[in-house]
Amino acid sequence: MRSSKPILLVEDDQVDAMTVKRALKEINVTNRLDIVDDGEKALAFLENPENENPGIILLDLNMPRMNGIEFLHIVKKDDMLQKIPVIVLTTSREDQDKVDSFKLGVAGYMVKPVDYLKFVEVVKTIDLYWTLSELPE
Amino acid sequence: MQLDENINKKFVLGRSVVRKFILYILLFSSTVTLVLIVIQLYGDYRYGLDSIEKSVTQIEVSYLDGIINSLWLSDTELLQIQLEGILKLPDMQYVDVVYENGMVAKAGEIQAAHVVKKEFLLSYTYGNKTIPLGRLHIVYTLENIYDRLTQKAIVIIVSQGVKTFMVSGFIFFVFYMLVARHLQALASYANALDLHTLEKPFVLKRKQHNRIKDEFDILVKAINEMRMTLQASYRQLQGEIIERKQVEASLRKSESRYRGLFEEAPISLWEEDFSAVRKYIDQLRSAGITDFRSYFISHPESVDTCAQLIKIIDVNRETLKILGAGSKELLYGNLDTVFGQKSYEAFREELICLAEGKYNFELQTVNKTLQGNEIQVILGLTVVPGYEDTWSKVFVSLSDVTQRMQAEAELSQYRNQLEELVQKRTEELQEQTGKVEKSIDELQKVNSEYDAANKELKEFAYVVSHDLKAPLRAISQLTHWLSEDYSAGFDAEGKEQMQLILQRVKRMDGLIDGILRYSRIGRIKEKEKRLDLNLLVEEVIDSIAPRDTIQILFENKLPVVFKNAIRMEQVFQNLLGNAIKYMDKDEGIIKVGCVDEGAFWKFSVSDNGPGIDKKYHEKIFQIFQTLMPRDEHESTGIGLTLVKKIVALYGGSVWVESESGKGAAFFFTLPKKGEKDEKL
Repeated sequence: MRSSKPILLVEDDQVDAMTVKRALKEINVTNRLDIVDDGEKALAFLENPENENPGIILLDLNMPRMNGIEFLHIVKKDDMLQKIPVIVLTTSREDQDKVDSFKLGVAGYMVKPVDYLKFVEVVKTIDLYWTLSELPE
Repeated sequence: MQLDENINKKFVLGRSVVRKFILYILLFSSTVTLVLIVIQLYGDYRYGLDSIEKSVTQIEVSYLDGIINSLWLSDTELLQIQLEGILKLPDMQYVDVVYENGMVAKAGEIQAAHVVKKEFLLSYTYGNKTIPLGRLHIVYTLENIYDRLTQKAIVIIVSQGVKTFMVSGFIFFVFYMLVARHLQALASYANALDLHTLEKPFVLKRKQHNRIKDEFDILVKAINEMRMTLQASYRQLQGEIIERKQVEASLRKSESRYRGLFEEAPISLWEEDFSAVRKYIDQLRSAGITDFRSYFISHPESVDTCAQLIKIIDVNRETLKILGAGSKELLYGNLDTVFGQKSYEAFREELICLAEGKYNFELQTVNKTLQGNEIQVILGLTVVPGYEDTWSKVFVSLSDVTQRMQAEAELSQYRNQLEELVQKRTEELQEQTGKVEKSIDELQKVNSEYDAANKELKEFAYVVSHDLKAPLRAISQLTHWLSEDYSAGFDAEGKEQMQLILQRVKRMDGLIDGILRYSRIGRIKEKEKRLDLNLLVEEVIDSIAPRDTIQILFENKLPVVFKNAIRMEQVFQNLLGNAIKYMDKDEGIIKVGCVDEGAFWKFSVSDNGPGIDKKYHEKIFQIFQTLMPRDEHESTGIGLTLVKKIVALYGGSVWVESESGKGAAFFFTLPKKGEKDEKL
C-alpha cells in the first residue's frame, strides 16, 4: 500500500480474517496487518501508545460486544482517530447499515463475497482506493 | 313646419325692423326735402315777382315819359313802337294804352290765366297843371315763373329723391351688415337651438381677430354663457329624470311583484290599516295606562272597539279559498262569522302585543269558514317596516293548520307505538351486541398475535439467512484454499468433488440471498416516487444485456406510476430475466405491454420460449420451486415468488397464460394511485 503504516482489521470471523490476510498477500501488500476481533478491542488497540496508528481500518459490522456501528460512533468523536479512513467490510447488504456507516464518515462500504476470488477483487479495490485517494496526514 | 317658422321669422324681422327703419328714414328725409323744396320754391317765386316789380319800375322810369310824350304829341306810331318795346320785356304778355277818349293802342294778347296787371295813370305836367292823357295797362304773365318753378321742383324732387333713396339704401346696408344679419343669425341660432344642439356655441360671422369688442361680443358671450348654464341645467335635469324614471320603473316592478306575491301567496294574506287602533291605544297611553294586558282583559268593550277600528285594505286569493268565500265582498260582509267568539282571545293578544311594541309575532287561533267549519289557524302579524309610527300598513297572514294538527296527532300516536317497538328491539340488540363485542375482542387479540408472529418470522428469516452466510463463506474459502494449496494431494475425482462443494456453496448462497430479498419485501417501508416505466424497463434490459438473438419489443407506451423503483426493477428483472434465461428459440422475441383497465394497469411480458404446462401455473410462484434441474439452469426459484410478493404488496395480482411449447405470457396488475399515476 502507499505508506508503510500498518492496516487494522477489526473482524471476529477467523476464516474471514484469514481471507483478508491471504488476499493482501496475494496482491503483494506487505504492510503489517493487526487483527482485533471486536470494537472494544479495536479501541483499546488504538488508544495504546505502544501501537503504531494504522493507515487504514477495515471494519466488520456484525461483531460481539461492540459492533462496527458502535465503534464508528466513538471514532467519529475522537479528533485523532476520525482522520484514519475506515472501510466497512461486511456481509450485510442492508440499506440501513450503508446509510448509518456513511453518516459516520466511512471511506467505503464493501460486501464480502462468498467466492474467494471475488473477495480478492474486493481487497484489490480497497488497495487501489487507498493508493489513489488523497488522505489527511 | 320648422322651416316655415324659420322663414316667417326672418321675414317678420325684415318687415318689422329694417322696413320700419327704412320707412322712418325715408319719411323723415322726404319731409325735410319737401320742406326745403317749398322754402326754395317760395324764394324763387318771390324772386320772380320781384323781377316783375323791377320790370314795372324800369317801365315807369324808362318808358313812361316817352309814352306820355308820344301821347302828348299824339304820335301813334311811336307809341306803337314803344308798346312793342315794352312787350319785349321779359314775362310781358300784353300792354295797352287807353286814351281819355277811349281809344286804345295795344300790343300782345292776354293768354294765360295767371297774370299780374298794372295800371299807370298817364298825365302830362305842364307848369303846375296836370293834364290826364290816358292809362297804361301792362299785363305780366306768371306762366314762365310757374314753369321755372315746376321744372326746378321736378329737378329738386328727383335729385333729392335719388339722394334720399341712395342714403337710405346705404344706411340699410350698413344696418344690415352691422345689426340685422347678426340679429337674423341670432334668431336662427335661437330657433335651431334645442337640447341636442346645446353643444354648439353661438358664433357671429364677422372678423374675429383684432377687433374692438362691441355690444355684439357682449351679447355673444352672454348667449354662450346662457347656453352653457342651460346645458348644465339640462344635464342635471336629464340625470334626475333618468334617475326618477328608473326609480319609477323599479317601483312599478316591485309594486307589481309585490302584488303578484301578495295575490298568489300560498297562505292567506290580509293587508290592513291599524292607524285608528294606534290612535286609540295612544289615547289610552296618554290617559296613563301602562299595563295593557290587564287593561284589555278587564275592558272587553275596548277590544271590540279596536276590532271595529281596523280597516281591511285587501286580501289575497288564498284567503278567500281557506275561508270559503266566493268573493271579497262576501267575505267583508261576513267578518263576524269568520272572527267568532273563539277568535276573540287571539285578537286581544294581538292588541296587547302591538301595544307592547311587538311588530312581528305569531299566534294560534281558531277561525270559522263562511260555511261554519272551524279551522285551526296560525296567525302571523307584521307591521310593515317604515310604518311602525302609524301602523297604517300591517300584514296579517293566516295559515290553515287544521290538517297538519290532525296529522301531528296521528304521528304522535305512531311515534309512541314506534318507540315501544324500538325499545323492545334495542333490548334484544344490546344482548346480541354484547356477544359480538366479545367476539371482536377475541379476534383483535388473535390478529395482533398474528401480526407479532408475522413480524417475528420476517425478522427471523432475515437474521437466520444473514448468519448462515458466514459459515458458508468459510466453507467456500477453505475449500478454495485446500484445492489451491494441496492440489497435488487430490486426484481428478477429488478435484471434481471440490468443485461440486464450491458449486453447492454458491447455490446455497443464492438461496440465502433469495430468502433475504424475499423477507426484505414489506419488512422495510420503501420510498415511492414517480416512475416512467418506459425508462425503467429500458434500464433493466440494459442491465440484463440479453443475447443478440433475442429481441425485446414494446407493444405500446408504458405508463408513469408512483411506486418504489427497486421493487419495480425486481419485477421486470425477474420476468424478463426468466424469459431470456429459458429462451430455447434461435430468434427469441419478448414483448412488454400495458393495458389501461380503468382502476388498474395490466402489464404483460410474453415470449415465444418453451412455454409452461398448465399444471405448473400455480407452482412456479411458490418459493424455491424450479422446473428445470438446477445443474442445467442455475436458479434459486425465488424470482417469481418475489414478483408475486411485490405485486401483492401493491394490491395487484400476477398470473401466467401459457401452454407447453407455445410460449408464455406473464400478466400482472397494479392498481392506479389516484391522479399520481398517469398515462403516457
